[in-house]
Amino acid sequence: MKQHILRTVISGFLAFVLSLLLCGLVAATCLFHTIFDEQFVMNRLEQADFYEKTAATITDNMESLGIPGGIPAEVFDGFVTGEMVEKDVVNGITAAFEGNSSYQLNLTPIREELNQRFTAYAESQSITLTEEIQEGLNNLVEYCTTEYRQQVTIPFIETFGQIRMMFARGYNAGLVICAILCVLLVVFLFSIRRYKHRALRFLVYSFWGGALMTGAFPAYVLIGKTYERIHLSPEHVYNAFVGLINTCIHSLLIGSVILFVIGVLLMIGVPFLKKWELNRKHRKTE
Amino acid sequence: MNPRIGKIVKKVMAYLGMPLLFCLVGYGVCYIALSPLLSPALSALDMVVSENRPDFSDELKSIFTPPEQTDEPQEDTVSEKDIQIPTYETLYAKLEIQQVGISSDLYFGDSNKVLKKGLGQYIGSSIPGYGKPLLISGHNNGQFHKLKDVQVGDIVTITTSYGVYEYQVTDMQVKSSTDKSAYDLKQDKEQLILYTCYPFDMLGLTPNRYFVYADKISGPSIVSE
Repeated sequence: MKQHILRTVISGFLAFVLSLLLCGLVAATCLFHTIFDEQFVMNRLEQADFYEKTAATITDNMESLGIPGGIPAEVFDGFVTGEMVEKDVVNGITAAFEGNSSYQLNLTPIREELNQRFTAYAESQSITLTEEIQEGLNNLVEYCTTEYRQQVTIPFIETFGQIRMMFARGYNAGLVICAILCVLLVVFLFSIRRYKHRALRFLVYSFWGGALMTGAFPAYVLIGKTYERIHLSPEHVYNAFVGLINTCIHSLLIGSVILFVIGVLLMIGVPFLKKWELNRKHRKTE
Repeated sequence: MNPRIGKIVKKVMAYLGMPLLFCLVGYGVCYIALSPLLSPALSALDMVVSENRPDFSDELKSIFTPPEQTDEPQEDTVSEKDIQIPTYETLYAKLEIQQVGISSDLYFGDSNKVLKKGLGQYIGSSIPGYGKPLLISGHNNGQFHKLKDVQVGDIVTITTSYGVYEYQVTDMQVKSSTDKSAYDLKQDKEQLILYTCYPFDMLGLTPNRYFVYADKISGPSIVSE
């Protein structure tokens, strides 16, 4: 009796550790292929029409900056395009994901273009460019350039890139180690149980426990929608962020469902394994 | 109970209870392991997460209702309970300087969105009636283009939902935009400070600002009960 209890406790512990490993494996895989995947992030931004909306926001903000400077909105027409923004945003994200901390946005073409447009406008209004006026225009160029840089730089991307680099470094090795540990745990679980169908039951507990661990917290976050109350602006940045988090949560839930389904299949196998063991025992005694 | 049914119930409970137990213990282990990181993470989250989803509508809210025109004189005081404190980017008053023809909506907050529509009040300054300074800005080629024509003695009228306030212009000055002595928001006097970019018709962003200072001459004081 005591041996039976000890075996049950050990089996329970092994099953618990296995469920933790399964949860970690699925969660890490989901994260690696969603928010930590550069191509995934780019696709999401493209789907959310991020580049065009950023270009529109930059233009709108530059026009607002131009008002006190006497520069009409038409001067900024066609200046900031979606392609231009896409190039700079993509370069910034790539640099962050590669851990390239020395990457600097090239703002010289922005400054030169703005200078040309302001000078052309002044000439069209027959305004003589005195030193004072030139200084005022230079100030406006700097403000507009800063506005461009702020809008094309994804908030916290550098920190996120560093976290991603640490994760990526450990991911492959971690995946292999987890897989090996899982196999060892399963082998050990089956070896300590005399009746293998009981070991299979503990395997079911592991998969369902892993499914619950993987899915419970994301489900809670999805229902509570806390991430939708984050104050990020402008709107397209907020939408891109919420879209990314949404997809990540859904992928974790899918992972959880997969673990649950595997558990169901194993559970279906328990009576068959039990029958097979009984038949084998019966044949041995004959 | 039938022993067979009892066995089935036991198995079902095990299939439900064990995974639930694993989940609870697993989350407990994670909580203990990550607790040094949880508290600062939650504090950081509190700073960026609000009670409601952010509002991205272009519409600016308004709480301004012009007070009823009556022959009776205004009360000297108004209770704080009877006024609605404006939130950021909310239209809450109207500012007029009849002598130079300035008449514009006044918003609480001075973002680009607000300054495109009207005059913006710095949210670090007070609203009329509290006996503290008000700092209001507008574009020099927009609502405040005629500010250059204001003279000492001109009257600035701010009409709110809870009262009409009048301020008499006492001074005008040109100061640098970075000059911290241009105004004092901590003084215990209800001084109205209007400012805009200077020079008025110059191209480009200018380093100077044109300030107009006015002292309160009438309007109800806000009292808390």
